[in-house]
Amino acid sequence: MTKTKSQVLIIEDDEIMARLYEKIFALNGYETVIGYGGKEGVEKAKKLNPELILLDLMMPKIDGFEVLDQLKKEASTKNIPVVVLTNLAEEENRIKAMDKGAVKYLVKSEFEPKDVVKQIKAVLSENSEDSEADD
Amino acid sequence: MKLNLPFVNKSPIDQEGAVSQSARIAFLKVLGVAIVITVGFYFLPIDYREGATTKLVIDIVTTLFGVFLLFVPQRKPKYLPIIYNALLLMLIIAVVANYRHQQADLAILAMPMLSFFLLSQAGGIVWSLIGFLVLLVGIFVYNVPELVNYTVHYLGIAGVIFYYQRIISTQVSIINQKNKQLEGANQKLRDEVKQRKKAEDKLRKEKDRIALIVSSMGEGLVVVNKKQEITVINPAAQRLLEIDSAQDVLGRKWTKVVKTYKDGEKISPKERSFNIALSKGETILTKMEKDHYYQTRNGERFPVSSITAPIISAGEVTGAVKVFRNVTREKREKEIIEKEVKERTKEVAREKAKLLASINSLPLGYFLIDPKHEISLMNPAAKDILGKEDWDFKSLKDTFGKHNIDISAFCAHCRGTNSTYGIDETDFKNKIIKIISVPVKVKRQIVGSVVVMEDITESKLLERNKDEFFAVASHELRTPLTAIRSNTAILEEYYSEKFKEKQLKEILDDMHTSSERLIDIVNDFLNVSHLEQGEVEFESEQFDIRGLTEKSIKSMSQAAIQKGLKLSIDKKPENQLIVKGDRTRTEQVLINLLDNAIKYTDEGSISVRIQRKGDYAQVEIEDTGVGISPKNQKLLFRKFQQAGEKVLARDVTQGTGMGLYISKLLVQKMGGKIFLLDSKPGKGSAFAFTLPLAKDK
Repeated sequence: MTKTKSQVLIIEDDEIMARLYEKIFALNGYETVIGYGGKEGVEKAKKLNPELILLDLMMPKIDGFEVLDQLKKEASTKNIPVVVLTNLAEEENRIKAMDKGAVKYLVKSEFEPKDVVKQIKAVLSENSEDSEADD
Repeated sequence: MKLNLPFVNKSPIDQEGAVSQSARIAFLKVLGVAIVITVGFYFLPIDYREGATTKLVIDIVTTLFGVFLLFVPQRKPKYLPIIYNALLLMLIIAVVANYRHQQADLAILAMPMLSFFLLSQAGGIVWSLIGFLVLLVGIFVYNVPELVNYTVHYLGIAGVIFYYQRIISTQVSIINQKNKQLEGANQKLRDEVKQRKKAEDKLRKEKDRIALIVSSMGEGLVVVNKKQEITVINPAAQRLLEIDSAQDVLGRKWTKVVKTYKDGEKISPKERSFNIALSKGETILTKMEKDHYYQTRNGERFPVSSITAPIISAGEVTGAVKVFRNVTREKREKEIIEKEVKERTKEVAREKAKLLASINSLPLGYFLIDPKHEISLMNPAAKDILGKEDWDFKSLKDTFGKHNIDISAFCAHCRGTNSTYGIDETDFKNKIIKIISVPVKVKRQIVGSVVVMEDITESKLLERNKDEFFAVASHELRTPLTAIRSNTAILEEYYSEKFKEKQLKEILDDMHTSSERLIDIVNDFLNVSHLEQGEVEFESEQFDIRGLTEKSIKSMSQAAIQKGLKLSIDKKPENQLIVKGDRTRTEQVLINLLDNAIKYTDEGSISVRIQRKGDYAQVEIEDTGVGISPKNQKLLFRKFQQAGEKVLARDVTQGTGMGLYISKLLVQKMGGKIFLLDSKPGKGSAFAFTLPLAKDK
């Protein structure tokens, strides 16, 4: 099945923010799916196999780091690039996330939603290059 | 063995100059007589050989002479030399006459005499033998058998005389010695008498002097004998006791003359000082405080201070002497002083109480440590903070030590540097306290240190809470704000054709602008909060301030042009000015200042100047805007303050008013200063900030 639009999974517990990202991504030509909370996010990741996961770190119940761990443990999801988008600006969190396998760490205060899209584009284009090679 | 020739030496007996002197005179007298007789004999044609009478006479004379010689030495030893000298002379006469007259009889007279003389003169064995030989010569040469007769006589006499001479000489010497002794004793007596006289004179002078002192003394002096009868009373005592004449009281008992009172009552004779002094031999001091009063002749009473001392001679008390004076005035003066002291003490106590009450009522903890490390004062508030009632320095030190506060180093430091020293904020038990130490000086000498503690827990927590609140609030606000802004942005960007209607478009615009503004405000708050908490990292780079300023000007030029303002930078010969700091933050400051300048200037220009000031680079931004009144100038660089003309009429379109505050924090963090150079309402303002120049040459 060829995809015409890249699928992005947004794991975010804040509905409003999730919908915002959805719109922005849609307007930029990306299909998005929202996973409300960590548990749902991981499930959907397993089921839908998106091209990229946008992960919020500060979530109740399961926090983002745990989700990251789970995604990377799972065979079906461990290769999906994860971009962390969070309020936490501390360097130690960045290091922790990157260590856990995130490809990018974006701090919300530095990146407007528009900029986030640009970052995602960059990651996806990198990956698509790879995947084209695979094809 | 001595040979003392009378003409030449003194005789052995005579050792006194006086005696030999008179002997010599006597000898000369005899010599005179002898010369006469010699001459007589020589020229007189007497044939005295004839006649037994002559012989008899000669016999008697010689015997008498001999007897005379026996006794003379005993009685008048000092005539002996004369006699010997006379004898010698007679001998010489006899020999001469004999020779002249060819009379052997003279030889009879002369020879024994000569020998006798020699014997007695010399007194020694040798001379005795010589004498004896002479006799023998006489006997045999002159063939005078009678000489044997005379020889025996004279030998005997000679022997006796010889013997006596010894005794005499001894006795004479004894007598002389005794004489000398007597003389010596005499002299000693004379000396002693002289000494005694001298001592007597001295004593007399002393006595006179003492009498003078006693009579001119200001204090009264009374001497009594063993029976307490007055033997001496000086004029001062008379005066004090109102006694007209000393004769009135001399010989009378002291106890009868003067009565002593204490507390209005007469003192018993037993207790009186003279009594004690005489009976116990003690010196009694009656001081003013004892309240003793003497009663004068006329019944007046006056307070006394006295010393009564026993007079002791040869270990026995023979009397007593008292010196006393009227202490009325002293008593009065003392009372006045005591009263004053009491009042002053009361005053001091009052002040002290006030001070203590003030200290104790302070909400600040206060304790005073002296240099010996003893706690001399601790108020209730301190005990509250420290959480215990009783404290000694050691436990205090330990308690503070547990919280890493070395209290003794604290105090030593403040004492050593003679200045206040403290810690603004430190944890202590479960409180936050501010603690300062101040040296205590008394007349430039440091006598201890005062330690003041303030429990700032609440205010600090409040502050922290406030800061936390801001941080958390700002954080929480961001998310919904972003949602608003981004959504409105989407609408504006992608759905603008759906908002053709003017009103709708306006609504959308306003929502977007407001949300942007809100975000700016929140960002400012967060920024400030981060800066204040020190959570922001600053780069330490070296960059060209000129270049950065030109860049900032370029980015703001559009805004300036829009308002019709001229924005320029001065032309300076130096192309570069390298400073040390954080480039991004510096740009932030520049943008802030330029932004403000543009905001508050409606017409005219904004000029930027950069110059070197010592070790710093100074950037000045001058505008021709509304200016800032002196009152508002004081409020610049503070949090939440906009120096618009009216403090309450804040221009809400112009941001949060924290721009300058943030700039200040940033510049200070980089080691520089930011300040208002000058401002005149209606004319314009000039702001400036400095940054340290990069050190390398």
